[in-house]
Amino acid sequence: MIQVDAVTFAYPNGTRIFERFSWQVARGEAWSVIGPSGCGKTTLLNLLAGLSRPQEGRIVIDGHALRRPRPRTGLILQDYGLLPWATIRANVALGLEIRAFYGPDGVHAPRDEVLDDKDERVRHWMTRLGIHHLANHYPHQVSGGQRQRAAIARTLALRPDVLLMDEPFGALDALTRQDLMQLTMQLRREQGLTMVIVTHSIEEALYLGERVLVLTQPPHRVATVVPNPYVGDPSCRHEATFLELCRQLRELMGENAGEMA
Amino acid sequence: MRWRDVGLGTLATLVIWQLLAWAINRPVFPPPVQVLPLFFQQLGGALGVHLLISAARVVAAILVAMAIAVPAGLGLGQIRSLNRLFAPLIYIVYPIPKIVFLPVILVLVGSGDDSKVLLVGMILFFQMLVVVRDQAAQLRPEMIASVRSMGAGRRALFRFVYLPACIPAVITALRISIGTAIAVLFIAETYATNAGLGYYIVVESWGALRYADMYAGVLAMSLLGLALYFLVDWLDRRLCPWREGSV
Repeated sequence: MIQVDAVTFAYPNGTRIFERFSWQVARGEAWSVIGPSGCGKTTLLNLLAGLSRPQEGRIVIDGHALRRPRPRTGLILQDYGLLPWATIRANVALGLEIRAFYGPDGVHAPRDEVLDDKDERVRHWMTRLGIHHLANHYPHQVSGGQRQRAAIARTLALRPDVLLMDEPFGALDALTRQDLMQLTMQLRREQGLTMVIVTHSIEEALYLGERVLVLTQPPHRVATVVPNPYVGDPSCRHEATFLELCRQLRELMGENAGEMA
Repeated sequence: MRWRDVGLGTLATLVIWQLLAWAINRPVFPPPVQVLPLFFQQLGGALGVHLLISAARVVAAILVAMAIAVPAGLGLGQIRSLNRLFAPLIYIVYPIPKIVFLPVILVLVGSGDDSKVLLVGMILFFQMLVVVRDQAAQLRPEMIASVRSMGAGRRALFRFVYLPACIPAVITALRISIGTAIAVLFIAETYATNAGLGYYIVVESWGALRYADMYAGVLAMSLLGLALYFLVDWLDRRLCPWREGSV
């Protein structure tokens, strides 16, 4: 589904993040990308979202080389993604409004998009995410968890097949986080999404990712991948093998970091 | 501001005015009982025309300033290098009382409506430019990234992000600068023109020692300011409902 093909990316100031980096995500897989801050996790997500372009190599999603944000890819950020001047309903409808604005041109919106049921879709996703009663509130009037639910509703209303998330639950309290992680896994199964979620939390990475991509200090040349049998299963959190996996991840992140420093 | 408060304020002003007029007791300070009937009578005639002309000049100035300041402010707020280039220039020109340019403007664009609109427009322009720029600079890159990820190109970003983001800035700028704008318009209208409230007050009334008329003109000016404030408040409630209670 996602093919990162010998990608090289450096920032204008010369910091090289990826050097001929390759990585594949199969359709329907759930991946976590984990690493310390500044390791290039968000850069990777921006590349996958089509918001940044690699200097060399290419990214292929669903058979098409990525040149700009792809209509069927959804992106959810930690916060600040909602428009502060729009109600929750208007925020959830935003993506559909943008599609209606351009029409189904195949560039900004999928060519087969039908928007007759726009309001219905907005209502459906607000109800599904449990924020229907907040439709007329503004983002600053609702809690962080509810804002994030609105962001998810807004993205899913666009019927994505790939979902990219950047530290989506970082700013939330533990209970809300657990709640939303569970919901995310449920929605992923329901919608058959291919998911890449970026996080710095090992706990989050192991809950959400069937496989974990570990990034350390840039530049990254090879993908370090750890399979995770414990995805979506909080019950095994105290088992020795789970704790061993956590230790292994910590070591991977810390060890390589030490090597580069 | 509520209508009731405005009514009370008007009443208090009239009472104080009447008391002062009794105390001063000179032709240069006529009481409201003398001015008000004249005001309402004149409003249907010459004064009304002057009021409309002044109002049209202010509104034209607002529109012109907005048409230039909004795109310029958005550009400066979003493109850092552009702002680095222009910020010093803005801060050098910003504090200059724009009325000092009146002689220059009169020579360059003549003494007609254009000169008044240009002068008042300049005041509003700088105010709006600075507020819109700061507002645009505050837009989180994360928000813009997430809107772009939903397929928004430049046109949709403008329509769904930049435009709504700068409406409150424009309204704030208007609220701050309407008082100055009217004051400057008044001065500009006392030179080289034969229309507008400034002309009516200074040339037609004061110059002819018709004090009651002069105060009728002052009343009209205050009415113009009040109407514009109400207009801005109304626009604020209409266009920025999410700021409810913050004003």
